[in-house]
Parts: sequence; structure tokens; C-alpha cells
Amino acid sequence: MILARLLAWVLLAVWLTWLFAIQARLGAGSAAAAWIPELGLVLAISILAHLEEREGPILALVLALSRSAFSSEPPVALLAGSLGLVLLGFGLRSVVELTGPLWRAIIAGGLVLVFDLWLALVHAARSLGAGPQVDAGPLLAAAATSALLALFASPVLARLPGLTPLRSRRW
Amino acid sequence: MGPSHFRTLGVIVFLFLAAVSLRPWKDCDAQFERAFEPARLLGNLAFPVSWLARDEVRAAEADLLAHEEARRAEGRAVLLAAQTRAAPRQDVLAHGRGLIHAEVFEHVQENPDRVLVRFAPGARVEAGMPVVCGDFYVGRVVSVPRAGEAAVDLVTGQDFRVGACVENAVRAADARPAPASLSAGEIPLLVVGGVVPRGRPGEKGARDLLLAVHCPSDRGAAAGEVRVREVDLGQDPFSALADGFLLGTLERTARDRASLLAVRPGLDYSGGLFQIAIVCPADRSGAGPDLARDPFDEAAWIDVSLQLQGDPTFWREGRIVRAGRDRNLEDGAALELGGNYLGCIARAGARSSSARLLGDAGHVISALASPVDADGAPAGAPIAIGRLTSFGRDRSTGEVFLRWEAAVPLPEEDGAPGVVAAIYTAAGQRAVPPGLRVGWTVLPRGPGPFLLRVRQEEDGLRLVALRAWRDPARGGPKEP
Repeated sequence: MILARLLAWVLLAVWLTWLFAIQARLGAGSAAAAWIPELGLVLAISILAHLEEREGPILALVLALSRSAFSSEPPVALLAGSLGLVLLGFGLRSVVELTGPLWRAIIAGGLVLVFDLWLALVHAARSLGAGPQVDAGPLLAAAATSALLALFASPVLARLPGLTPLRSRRW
Repeated sequence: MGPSHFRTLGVIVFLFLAAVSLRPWKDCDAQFERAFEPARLLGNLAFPVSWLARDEVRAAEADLLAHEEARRAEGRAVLLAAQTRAAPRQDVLAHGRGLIHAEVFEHVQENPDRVLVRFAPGARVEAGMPVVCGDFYVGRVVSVPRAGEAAVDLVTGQDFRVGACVENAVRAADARPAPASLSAGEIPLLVVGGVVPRGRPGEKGARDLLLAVHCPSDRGAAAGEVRVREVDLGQDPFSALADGFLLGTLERTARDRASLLAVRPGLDYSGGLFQIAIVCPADRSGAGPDLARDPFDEAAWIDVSLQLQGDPTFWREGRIVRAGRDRNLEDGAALELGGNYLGCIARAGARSSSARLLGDAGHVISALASPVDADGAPAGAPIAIGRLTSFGRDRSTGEVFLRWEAAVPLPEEDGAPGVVAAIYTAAGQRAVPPGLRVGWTVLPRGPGPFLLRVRQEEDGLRLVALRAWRDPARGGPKEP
């Protein structure tokens, strides 16, 4: 049982890495980069909807590690963002039904928006105002397409090969 | 552990991580970087993704390399022209003096009024020698830590003092009569050093950098040309060599409801100081301009590959480079291909590094502008434009927005358009050699700041193989 769960976490890291790679590659130099959904975050939110709460820190760590394979963001900011997303997700899960399509889409869009805002805030703080702030428009676009992805593809993402042991019957 | 305990603990950990993220604490940041570096091995899983459009990528790389020699030659020519401009233009300033060309390679972080310079290792440079840029006085050599390198204190330093006089002085209309000690026709003397405190936000010229004036012999002087004139020659055998060099123009400025005398410099000391000359006795002069370091020295460049052409954060232009300190890469090291500046290493890890391309907002470079004509041929002397800060990329046109402070603005001429120029990297950054082409832009005239639109020949967004600069002085690369 433990081995199966361990394997599931490893496979989640692999899936997340691929999704972040696809997301990064599609967005490189593209004028429509803001419209590309946060594929990796949507998968993490799909997993979070059915996860035991005590395994939340592992999800945050795997999410941060996978993204850091391609991201120039500081690892500590990725870890803080991932942990914040997981905590916020668990908090919302106890209020609304995350497995229902409408709430799933709304919560996914909101969490993606908060995560991207966090990274923008860290970038602005670290460059000491040397650069511009990110416009709200592109952030909302990424959140909207991520919400749509969660609406239609979240059940499929949560059932990707090897991830079943991470689903809890309680949720 | 129950859910409430987990959440409490989670929130505490989150708050700690958030604080470290927003207010970087160097040691802690470095520990996280080190701990996360092995995760970059996961990037190897993405090789099928990086194969997408590989033929197109290879064609772009081959095209860039095909014209590399032409770009290198242009870069070297711009550098030599910039070095020639470091020598005084007025014959009277060059007469009876020797000049040793030098290049700024670092602004000392702990002391922004001190720069480190490189010169030909055989040159006999000593502490106290004046340093100039064209006809302008810059500061003086304070130490020579090793052959070919010196530390220079700028006139902007708080404790720096240099004697000066005001030529063609104009007295203020409401000024008191000149003091009796100053006979008619005698030029006012003063001491210059340090900077005038910046004014209140909203005050006219509040952010202008002005040199502070001390002990003026005539407080009624309101305008004129300020030149170095050392009267106390007993202390320093080299101080007289600086006599006659320009400091700037005298003016009155309002600060905190008071009217202060100040000198408006003709140089951008904060970011526009790249090629300089050390003034020495005539018998020690160098043979002439020579590149303190050839930017295209093969020993200084290594081939590196990128993990992937892209960054999951869509508004960033970050990359992961598959090389680190194991191959002598350092923070800030330039990335180029075919003579084009593409970006730099943000943080060098043990075996991999994070990098940022020019279009990544907040990226800062020191730059030279070489005016060009309609055919793209050089059409004037290079202009040291100082620091440019990236404000991101216009994804629809591919142009990069670079903020230019224009601390020393281009002169305004009636109806004259801006200056079309090729932008090159300048000296002043330890790990970015000067002479790499950045792109083309139009420099507006008049006081800034401006947001320049820079067109790059290659933006590097789709490339997977680049070249990274490493300090040849640190020894050869350690191949894994």
C-alpha cells in the first residue's frame, strides 16, 4: 500500500513535469501566451479535491519541485505559492463541493489567479520596482482558461494513469 | 495530527516562506536553491517537448552563426571608437600628459562611488592619478590591487574633494558684491565633491544628480564652466595633471526652500561610465587604445544548452541552463549567440543555472549606442547611454521595451528626429563583455526617462543552444 502511494507521488511528479513543460513550450514567444491554461496547477487542484489533508504538504512539495525544473522563479517562492494554494484549496473544500463542475471551475480559476498574483508580487518585490507590474488582464485570461480546463478536463486529469492511490474515499 | 493542527502548522510555515520570498535573505535563499537544484533533473523528462520544431530552431541557430564574424567586427569597431572618445578632445588637455586607456568592469556594490577598472597590465598606474573620460574629470585612482586592475573613487563620493574654478563666471543679478579678497577679473575658486541631496518628490529637477559645491570664494557666482584647478599641490604629485579637465556647469538649485550652488555634470556617473583614461606623466603613456579584453576571445565562451525553450510563468522569459559553477559560470554571466546579446545567468548553481533573457522584466544592462544611417552603417561616435532596464516584450511585434533614464540627454535640435542607433553592451558589468549587439532603436532627444522599443535580430526565445561567458582568469572549464 505504501509502495503504491509512493509510486503514485512519483508519477504525479512526472505528469506535472510534462504538463509544465508543454505549458512553457506553448507559451514561449507566443502573443497568446496569457491564454494558455496553467496545466500543471489544474492537475494539482484536481488531485487536491480528493486528497487526504495530511498529504497536503507532499502535494505542495511535488508541485513546487516539478515547476522548478523549468521555472526561473526562486524555489522558496514556488514552495510558498504551492503551500498557499494547497491550504487555500483545503479551506475552500470544506465550504463548497470541489468535485461539482461549477465550483470546481470557479475555485480552479481563483486559485490559479492567486498563484500567478503571488509570483508577480515576488518578482516585483525582488526587482525592487525596476520593472513594470504585470497587467491584470493577462492574469485574468490565464485564470479563465484554467477554469475552463478544470470544468471539462479535471475528472480526466485526476484519473491519469498511476494517480488513483492518491484519491481518498472520504472526498 | 488533526486537520486544525495541520492547518495551523501549514499557515505558520507558509508565512515564513512568504516572508523569505518577499524579503530575500541571502543564505536562506541559497539553501532553497541548493535543495531544489536536483529537481531540475526532472526536466530531462521533457525532451520530447523540446524536440518540437527542432529543425526550425537549428535553422535559426545556423543563420545567426553564419553572420557572426561580421557582428564581431562591428562590435570591436564600436568599442575602439568608444575608447578613442575616452581621450581628451581639447589639445590643451592632452598636451604634456600621458594617457592609459582603461575599462570599467565593475561598480563596487558596497560603495557605489567606487569602480574597478582594467588596463594593459604593463602600464605603471599609481594611486592618486586622475581619471578622465573625454574632457571630463571622473575621479582618481585609490589603489592598484593587482597588475592591470585599479580601484577608482568617483567625484560623486561623499568624502571626495577636488579643487576647481569657474570660467566665464556669471554673477546672479541679486547677488551681493564680490568679496574684497576677489579682485576684479579673478576667477572664483571652489571645492567640488559629493552630490547634492535629492529634492522632494514633485520638485523640479528633484531627481537630477548634481555635484556638491563647497567653500566657494564668490557666493554670487551663478553660472559658468567648472574646471579642475588644484591649488594645494603639496600632498599629491599627480593632482596637477587633472587641472583644466571639466567637471560641468555651475548652477543654482532649490533644495528644501534654500538655493544651493551645484555643478551639473556632463557625465552619467551612475551608469554611463565605461571607457575612461588614467592621466599620468607623459613618459608613462600607453601606446594607444587597445581592448582591455576582447569580448569575443574564444577562451571566454563555452557552449551551453537550455532545459527547454520556455518558462511556465507566461510573463517571464526565464530559462534553465544545463551548466553551472562546475563549468565556471557565475551570476550575471552573459549569454550570446552569433555576437548577439540574449540574456544572462541570474543565479549559477552547482550543475545548472537559472537565466533570464532580455525580455524578462527587470533585466538591467549597461549599453552603448552607435548611431547608424539608413543603410545601417555607423554614422557617428558611440554614445554611452548608461543603464537600460527591461520592461518586458511586446509579444505582438517581438520588440523589447527598455527604460532609458537619459541622465545625460541628447541635445534637442529644432525639428530633429531621434537618433537611430544600434545598441551594444558596454563595460561596467563584470561578467558581461562589452561589444555584444543588443538590437536597434531610436533614441529620443531631450530629458528622459524614455521607454525605448528595441528590435533584436534574434530574441533567443526558441533557441536551445547558447554560449555563456566565463572569466578566463578563473581557469579552464571543468568538464564533467
